[in-house]
Amino acid sequence: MDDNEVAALAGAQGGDEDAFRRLYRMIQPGLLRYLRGLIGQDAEDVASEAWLQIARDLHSFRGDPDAFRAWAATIARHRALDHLRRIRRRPVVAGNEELLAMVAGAGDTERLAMESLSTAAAVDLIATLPPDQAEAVLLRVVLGLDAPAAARVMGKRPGAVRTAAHRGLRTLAARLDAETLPAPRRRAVTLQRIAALKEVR
Amino acid sequence: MSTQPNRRPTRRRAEHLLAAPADRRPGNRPADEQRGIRRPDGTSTLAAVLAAARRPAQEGELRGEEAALAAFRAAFPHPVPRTAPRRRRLSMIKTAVARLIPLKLALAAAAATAAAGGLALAANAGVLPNPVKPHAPQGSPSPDSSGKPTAHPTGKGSAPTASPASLQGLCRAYSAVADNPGKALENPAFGALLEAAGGAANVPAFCARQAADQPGNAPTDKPGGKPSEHPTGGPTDKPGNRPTGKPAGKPGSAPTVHPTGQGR
Repeated sequence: MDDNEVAALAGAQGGDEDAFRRLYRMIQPGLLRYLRGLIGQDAEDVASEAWLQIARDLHSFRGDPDAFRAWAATIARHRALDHLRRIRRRPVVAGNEELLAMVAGAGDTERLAMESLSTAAAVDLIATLPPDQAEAVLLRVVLGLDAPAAARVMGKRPGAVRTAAHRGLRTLAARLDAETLPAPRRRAVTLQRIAALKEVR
Repeated sequence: MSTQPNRRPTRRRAEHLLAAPADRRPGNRPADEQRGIRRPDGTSTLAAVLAAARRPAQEGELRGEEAALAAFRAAFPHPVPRTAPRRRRLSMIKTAVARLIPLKLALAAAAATAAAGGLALAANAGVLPNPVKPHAPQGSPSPDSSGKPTAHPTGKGSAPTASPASLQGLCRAYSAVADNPGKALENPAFGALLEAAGGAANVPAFCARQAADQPGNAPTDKPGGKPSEHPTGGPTDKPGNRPTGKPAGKPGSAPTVHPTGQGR
């Protein structure tokens, strides 16, 4: 947590628009990527809904910038769950076999591929993990939450979240290292996913 | 457990990879992670993936900034000027011009602030002012002077916070949060509107009267945009003429746009 974050948060809570803009720019990328991991391409819409609520409730927030990030993540998570319930259909997020091919191949091409790996593709890759592992990794990596804060967002014990994150990294490493690609993992955004996200409550 | 001991990142390495870049101990980071060279255990590629996920804001990720700012303005209708108090008049004018009310009204409001202690402004809004207010008010479009994050000018205390500009702004903001108007009114930022309207149930009607008071002002046209020219609104212009905010001089006008935003 740095002084810029502290100042932006305090200013925004005092009604300073410039401070709010700075706060938004600090928080939104991570929030958006977290949501992308949770629900895929509707992340931008759900992020907008989250900011509506963040702005409304900003006056009543108490805490430091780290706590603010966790609070924003919790709001985003609720909006994501609402969104999944609302859509009630089964959009399938494309399997990432191309993605895995880009990063997991042998030879010199892989370094080039890594340099051009987009942020969105990296998030999508993480999102191929089982939901709680993906979420644990994303909360830590893109939102910078520590294990206890991530645990509060997910409604789990810190130990469980730590384990989930470590397992997630191990699984990812294995996939990236695989010489034969695993079967494409199609992550269906289904009510099962809602259940998986909900079960942590 | 694993037949290849180096194949999976260890717990310690996992924690290192997960930690925020600033928290990493400098000695611990393998050099080839930077070059993107893949080691047999795959972890440097993993590190590169995580690093890609952590990059600063990318193209398009900040697209929602203006919408978020609009939500912020709806929640915080009394902006904080960053100038010293003695220049409040000038900052009021700047703020007003940038935001909600035409310059004419802003200048008039500024003059009234200096001259009449805000009573004329409050009278214009149709809100009976607190008569005990000898010094310049805190509550016209200037901030809560204590600067505390929770201390919004909600109409408690002695400041007559309901200037016509801020009530207009609140009505506009109210219609902007039309997707959940009930909850929006729980936000203390709307306190001045609730007080002026005399309760949550009266807000739609109150805002409708506000719009009728200022014909040509279409509250839902452009949330946050300037209203059209305000023909009779200067507080120096017969402040006694509008005791309770009923429409004056424009009997036939009705708001053409429903200001409460229902059904938007």
